[in-house]
Amino acid sequence: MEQTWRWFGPSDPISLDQIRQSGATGIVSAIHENYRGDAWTEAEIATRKAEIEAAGLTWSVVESIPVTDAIKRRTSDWQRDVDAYCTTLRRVARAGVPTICYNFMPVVDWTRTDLTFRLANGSSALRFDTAEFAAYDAFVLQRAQARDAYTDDVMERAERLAAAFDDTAIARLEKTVIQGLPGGEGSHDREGIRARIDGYAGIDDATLRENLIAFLKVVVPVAVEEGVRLGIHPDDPPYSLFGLPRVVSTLEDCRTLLDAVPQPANGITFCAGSFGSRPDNDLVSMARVLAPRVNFTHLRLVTLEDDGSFFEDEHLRAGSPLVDLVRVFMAEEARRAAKGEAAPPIPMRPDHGALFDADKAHAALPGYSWIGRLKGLAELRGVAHAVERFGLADPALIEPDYAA
Amino acid sequence: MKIGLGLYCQMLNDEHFAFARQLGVSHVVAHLEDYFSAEPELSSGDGGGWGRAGSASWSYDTFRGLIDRLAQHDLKLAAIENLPVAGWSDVLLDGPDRDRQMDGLKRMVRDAGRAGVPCIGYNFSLAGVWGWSRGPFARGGALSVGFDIDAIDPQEPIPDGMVWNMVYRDGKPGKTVPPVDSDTLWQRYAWFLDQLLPVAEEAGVVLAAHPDDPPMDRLRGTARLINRPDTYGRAFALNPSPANKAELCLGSVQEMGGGAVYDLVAQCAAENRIGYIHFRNVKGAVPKYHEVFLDEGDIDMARIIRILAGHGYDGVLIPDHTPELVCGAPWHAGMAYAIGYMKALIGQVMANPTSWERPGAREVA
Repeated sequence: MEQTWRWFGPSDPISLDQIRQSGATGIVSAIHENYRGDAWTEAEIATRKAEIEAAGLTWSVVESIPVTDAIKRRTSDWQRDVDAYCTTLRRVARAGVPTICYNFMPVVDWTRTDLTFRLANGSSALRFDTAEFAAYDAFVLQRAQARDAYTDDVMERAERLAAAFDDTAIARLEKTVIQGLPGGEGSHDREGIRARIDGYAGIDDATLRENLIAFLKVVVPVAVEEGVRLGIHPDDPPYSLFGLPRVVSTLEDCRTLLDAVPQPANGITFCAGSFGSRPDNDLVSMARVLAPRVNFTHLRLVTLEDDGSFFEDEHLRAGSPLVDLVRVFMAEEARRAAKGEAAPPIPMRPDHGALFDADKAHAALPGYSWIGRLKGLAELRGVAHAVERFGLADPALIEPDYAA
Repeated sequence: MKIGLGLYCQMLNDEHFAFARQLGVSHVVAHLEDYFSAEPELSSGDGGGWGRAGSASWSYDTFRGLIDRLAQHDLKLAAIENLPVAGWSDVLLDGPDRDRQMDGLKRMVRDAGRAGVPCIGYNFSLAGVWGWSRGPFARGGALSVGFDIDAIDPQEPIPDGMVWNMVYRDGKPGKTVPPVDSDTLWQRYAWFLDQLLPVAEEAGVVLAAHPDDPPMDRLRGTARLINRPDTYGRAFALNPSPANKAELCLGSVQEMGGGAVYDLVAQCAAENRIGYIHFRNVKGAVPKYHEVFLDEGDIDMARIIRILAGHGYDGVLIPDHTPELVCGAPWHAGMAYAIGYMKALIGQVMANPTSWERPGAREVA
């Protein structure tokens, strides 16, 4: 697997010089300065590429080219925004970036409720607490149908939490939930998010799915023409938030969109953390089916709690499925090579990492710690070396569904 | 196999114990001598080496206090690394204070055993760890340690008052430590082992010998001791006590040249002669080498783990030194990288017994 590292551009507290020492060879980046939806200019793209290459690294993946609300809702600006998307896609392809990651989550991108959750070992990590989220939804945002979205048990705890809320607690939770996390595409205030959620009235999962497929039918042929691959990032967490539709949450969701546009350029970003945030997603089984259409991977681990809450855990905690995922994706690389596909290795990144006390000097963005991510990368690299040495990437791991 | 973290004396505090816990290690190897009194950063050192040696002995209370503080962080002490220089200078140099110092070492080993220290690492060396320099030798410009014989005068004499690259008393200006040949050094070493091993054995403490770093034939006019892979066998044959073991530094063994590290690891593991392991990697060998990240050196680290697994080694491995990544926390980043990689290798090897190199087995494809 190609080992990559996300870099948010020159303002990222973790420098390219640091990343080079980690042994990652590929950079995952975007024109983060322009997430408005208009086309990135050739000059912006060339500058980002030059910054990366000056450090001796390669721009391997664009994450993400943002998809506008007009595309997701298919409003009157749909054609304009899709055209801009295709222009950006062509430009990054021609700049030599082979893989493009994107997502189709309406209004809110990846979402957590706590950015400083203490793990048992004393480091801190990100957590999503179902009851805290429900408390925000029902009692702070006061969304009309909020109560129907949660179990009685969760609602009961949400009520207790809300009863104890003071202004500080509300401000902290609100900032965490709706103001956007690193790389996220939505940053809202309370009124703003209400309006955006209302904009999805009448758009259910089926409609959003149709809109996604309509989008794919335009952009995938462009990707094919330009010789690049797309990878849609799953919903994080992989279920509805604020009553909004979400359509990239399960294996069936993925099958539907892969089948709708069957070219290999229409692929998945296999985010183990996102898919892993619901108990009925069996990560390894999913990977074995989807592997031939996986174009990018985020290898991080979440630990689920009984009520659906989850926290980001150590990459190699006991029983971690990441070990088997590395085996599956390395088996897929071997399958592609045996077929004579001129496919580059599948890029992976350790995604997030815990924040160690010793790392606080680096002022890293939430989830994007330096030392924790470095340790995660070292662990994944160690696993990959062992898989290679011991021949653990058994070709039989790949299910036939998409391996034709 | 257990993963540990080595901590220098000024790192023996809650902040670093918490870091060890956050890394997920179970054990700590502690240095009690202060190598940093002369300079804030460890280097070969100028005329005074690593500066003035500290206390000549460490007490039961020191050991017990350390073990208790570690326990508060759910950590165990795997070993004390290195003897107090001022407490065995004349043992190394065969000086007038030799017998009195040996009495002190015996007292200390008994205290260590009583306090629960399972192992004491030492490096029987006059010149010590000397002659290296620091530079951007590892991947991506990470800082590590290199040795290049052309960059130094390897036989520059040791000033009077110094041994083991530290000052143990005021020296006479212009005077130097006289040359010491190999036979003499081995005689001194045999006396040291014969005196101290029975005490260590009785106290339940393992004495673990570090190989020479750098493993030259002679350095600063003095012979080296464990500077070839076969000299470990000689050291064990001198005194077969079960307390006579190796502080097996893979890097130093590899620096000896000849690629004997795998056979030596297998032999030491088979004979139960490993106190603990310095798990580090290196490119090159004497007369020129530099230390690198675990996955970019000449040693096949996965193979080392396979050999250890095949021999049922259940002891501690620490990264020893590792390249430091240039950033706001260079040492921490280097250790996190090393520990993560070790955790993955050990986990994968242990989960796949078919990969193990068992006793008697030779090369496994």
